[in-house]
Amino acid sequence: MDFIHQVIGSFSLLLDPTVLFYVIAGFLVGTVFSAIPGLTATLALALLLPLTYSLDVTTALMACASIYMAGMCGGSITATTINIPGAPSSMMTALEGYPMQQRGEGPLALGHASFASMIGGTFGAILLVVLAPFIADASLLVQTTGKFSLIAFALIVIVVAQRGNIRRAAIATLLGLMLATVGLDAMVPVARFTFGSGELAAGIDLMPVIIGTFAISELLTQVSQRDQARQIREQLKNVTRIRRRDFIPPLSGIRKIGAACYFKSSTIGYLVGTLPGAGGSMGGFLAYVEAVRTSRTPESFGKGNPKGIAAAESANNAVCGGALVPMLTFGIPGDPITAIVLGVLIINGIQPGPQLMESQAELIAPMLASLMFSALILIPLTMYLLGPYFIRIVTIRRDVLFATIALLAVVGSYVATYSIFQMGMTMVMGILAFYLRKHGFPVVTLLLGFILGPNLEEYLRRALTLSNGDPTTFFTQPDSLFFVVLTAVFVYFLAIRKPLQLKTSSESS
Amino acid sequence: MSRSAARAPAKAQFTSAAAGFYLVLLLLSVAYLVGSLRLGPPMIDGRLAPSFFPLLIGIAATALCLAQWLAEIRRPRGQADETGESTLAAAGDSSEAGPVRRMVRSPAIRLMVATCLYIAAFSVLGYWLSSALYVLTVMVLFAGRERLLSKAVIALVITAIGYLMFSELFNVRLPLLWE
Repeated sequence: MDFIHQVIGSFSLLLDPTVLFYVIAGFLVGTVFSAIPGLTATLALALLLPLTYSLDVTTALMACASIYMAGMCGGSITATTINIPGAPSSMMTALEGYPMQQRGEGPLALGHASFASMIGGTFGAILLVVLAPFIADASLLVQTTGKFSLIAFALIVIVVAQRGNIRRAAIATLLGLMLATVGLDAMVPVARFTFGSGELAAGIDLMPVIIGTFAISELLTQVSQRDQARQIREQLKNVTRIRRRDFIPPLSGIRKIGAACYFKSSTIGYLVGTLPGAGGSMGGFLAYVEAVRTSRTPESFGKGNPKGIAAAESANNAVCGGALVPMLTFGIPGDPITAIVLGVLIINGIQPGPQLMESQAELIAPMLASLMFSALILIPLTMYLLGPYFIRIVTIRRDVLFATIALLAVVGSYVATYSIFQMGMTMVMGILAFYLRKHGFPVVTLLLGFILGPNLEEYLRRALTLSNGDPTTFFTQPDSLFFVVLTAVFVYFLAIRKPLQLKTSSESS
Repeated sequence: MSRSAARAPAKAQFTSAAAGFYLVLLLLSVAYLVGSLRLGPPMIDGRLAPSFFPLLIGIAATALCLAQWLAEIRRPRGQADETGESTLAAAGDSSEAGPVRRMVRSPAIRLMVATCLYIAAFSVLGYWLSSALYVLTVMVLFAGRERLLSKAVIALVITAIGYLMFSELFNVRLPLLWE
């Protein structure tokens, strides 16, 4: 209850013009980045990361929260207007939004998307505020052995969630774990893989990994896609001018969708968010499928049914609240954005975990207040005030945009340590991530392997030391056994059962 | 499709770009594994030593990279893999240019070179000169050499905004040519 009061009290921080400026600026940057195909809110956050060194940590976390929320809804702009989702989370929105755009109801589709995002985002944030303290209390029951199994569970689930690409995902995770072992050993003073370099003795910094993986590799990918950008610009020329009042969905339309659809989709999104590696696109997909399944007129979906937009958008925004649960309570990020938020905490010397909600409540509460503020106020307000212009923002000159991003990324990697070595390391990570992406490797698993690697090793060694080297301890300790069983269940459902079903159906056809 | 490509469905793909990349990953994994072995025994007095975890990762990575490389080289020519990438596309067989020329022409490679040069020149030339040149290069790589003067002016403006943001707003001490 104390934590809820603290979150409510944190809204007063938004009265500070500096804080409000960063929250609104973060939201606008997040919306613009997620609206432009090829750019993501993750990239926006990666560019913001170096600035957190100079920024007050509370303000930085509040700005991160607003970027996160904006990143989930901004993608619906191009998904609706030109059928190209600005962000993966808006994939399902394109299915209904674009047909509506074709019959001249594009602004209405965007209005429904914005309203559903507001509902889903607020619902997810409220659930997070209410439930996180209880989950944090429960997480205190997890001891050293259980912590190893929990981190292993998170990494394995992230890998098996990459269906059809599991081997590549596993290799990327192992590459991340390899990078995490560079530097002095945490328990015994032995240098590992430093090749005599003093700069590597402290290990590879998180900043070059994040900026390299998300900013540099994106620049290298985008520079090869000039024609695609020209195509998008051509398509946007045909989009008719949108009036502000067209964005407001009528009450009858909202009633037709029904409160149950918003509530169910938001709940699906929140639960999906708590799973490692799932993200907004899976949340939106599952909620959309559920909306089609339970509809009396399933044939109307895919032809411009606002209910599909409402389901997908409320779910993908509710994911934000869900995804912050494992990050705040266990220190396990489920997606790249929460991994970067974790990076902001680590950079400022804050270790996420069960005690975080109590010991650092004054930092976490404002972040959650900002998440709620972004969902409840900034989503509808931004869409109403700036909606007509956002469609034009997508046509911004790519050379100017990417040159700015390149400068921010490279100089940003210098900011943390004033070291040219870190800039070089950023470039190395960027080139590695670029080639990994080019060959179909999911780089998010590399990042999560890198972030979770040190804890995975530490808990493995501690657990085996406590059990005198007996590996059965992972099956005899109840907390560990719980996560081992959970891992087996997820592996069965994600990696074994589904392919078998597919095989059977393909044989029968 | 060329006659030779159509005739060789069972031919191993040693030369595709993907096979080359997987081979690099395999070599990296093997080097890491060898490095782990050189860290010492995995257990000392019944306790896990600093080499234990790297050894586990090294073995797993080597096995998986080997499997990935073998799967790639055994893949029939022209057949798409599980990510939908065809060996023909991966190898860039459709282009008539040689691999070196293709590499030099690649905008991504040019951007990599430009960024590496920028990093090398950053502390030598200072923020202003190196950044303005870098921003201009990136703009040219993204939009071609047309209207170069206007691009140069925009590059200067971006560099100045970057300076104001980092140096004035966030108090970052950026290197200057003459300090």
